[in-house]
Amino acid sequence: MQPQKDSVTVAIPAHDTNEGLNFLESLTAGNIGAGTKMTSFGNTIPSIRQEYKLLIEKFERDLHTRQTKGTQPKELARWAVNERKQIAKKMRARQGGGSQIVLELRDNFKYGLGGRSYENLEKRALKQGIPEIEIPEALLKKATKPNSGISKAAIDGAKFLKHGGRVVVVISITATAYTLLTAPEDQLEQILYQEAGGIAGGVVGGGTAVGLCILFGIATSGWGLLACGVIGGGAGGIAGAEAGSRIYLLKEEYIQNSDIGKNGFEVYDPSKFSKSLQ
Amino acid sequence: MPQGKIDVNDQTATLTIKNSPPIAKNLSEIIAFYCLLVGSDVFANDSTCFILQFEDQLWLIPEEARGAHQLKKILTANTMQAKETIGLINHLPASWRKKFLLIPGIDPDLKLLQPSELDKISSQIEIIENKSLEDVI
Repeated sequence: MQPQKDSVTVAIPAHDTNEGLNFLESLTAGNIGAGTKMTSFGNTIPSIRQEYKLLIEKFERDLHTRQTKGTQPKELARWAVNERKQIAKKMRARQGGGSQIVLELRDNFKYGLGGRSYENLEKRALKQGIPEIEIPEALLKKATKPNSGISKAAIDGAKFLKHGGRVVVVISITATAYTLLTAPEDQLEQILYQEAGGIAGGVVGGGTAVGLCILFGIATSGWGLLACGVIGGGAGGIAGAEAGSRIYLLKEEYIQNSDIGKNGFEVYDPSKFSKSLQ
Repeated sequence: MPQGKIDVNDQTATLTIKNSPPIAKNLSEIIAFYCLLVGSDVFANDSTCFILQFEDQLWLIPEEARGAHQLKKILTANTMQAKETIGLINHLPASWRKKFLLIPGIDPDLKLLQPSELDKISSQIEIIENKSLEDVI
């Protein structure tokens, strides 16, 4: 087939046309999932920012109350470190499973098993040469220092994700609808399993990719973040479609080996019924 | 923890980076210093670092570098307050971060930088006006 004028030819990893079409269909299913996830991110991030602000304000009030009551420095520091850890964990959970796993893994990698626990932070402080007697105060300052929380850049990025995600969904739904409408009837069930797997994979892949991009500061706003989600969604979609296909084949194998598969019908055994009543 | 260290006393600071000879400077040569609060605990990319600005070079000192604890005590002294800037920044430039298997990581590295490197971040710093260095470190 000769490429048309003003067209762009892109290489894809496939041995033949069918394989190529399957690959592209997995990508579109993945991008439905990713687009949905990114739209959700776009709606969630501003509300996470608001909730984070309120939680930090409450934390500061509670800290002041404990300081006024004369809580011991180590106990105060331990409480403050734990509170900040819980606040961060809660905000990460709002971003979805993929992002949360990435961020928790990062903390466990940096601080040790258990992440930002008081014990882990205490060990790090000792390694830095901070005298043991000064550690509670040092950790208390760490727990109370300002940080950007959900920054303006993340909010701007969220707007791109919210609107860009919707566009990705609309484009991808059109392609997926075409696939389903033109699929041969005998293949439709398997394709449905693949599409469902692709969409689920896209949600996970898109969310994880956006989380990773924000973590590493690769692209924290605008088109870059959207591209992260699309690429992650595509990869997740391919993996998810493959998983969906395998689940379909396992299901088919199970049915073939069962009574229905062997005989075309299931033999009614009254004894099974009476046993179930006992 | 970053490779290398900083040694500080009342008069001088000496920066030792792996595979480089130590560099010693008088504290009086510090034109300005920055305390940067990088990233956010929500996104698991938070860290703190200091930039000591001299006429001919910058020293990037992560909070967790060996000797940084002594540096903090010197920087919080009254004599240095006029030179301090405390600010928030989302991310450090990739070339300022520790590498993980040749890939830029997340945390700041102990580094000697050219003065012009400051231009990479100057427009991104959100300055904190109502806190002193002792409040944040």
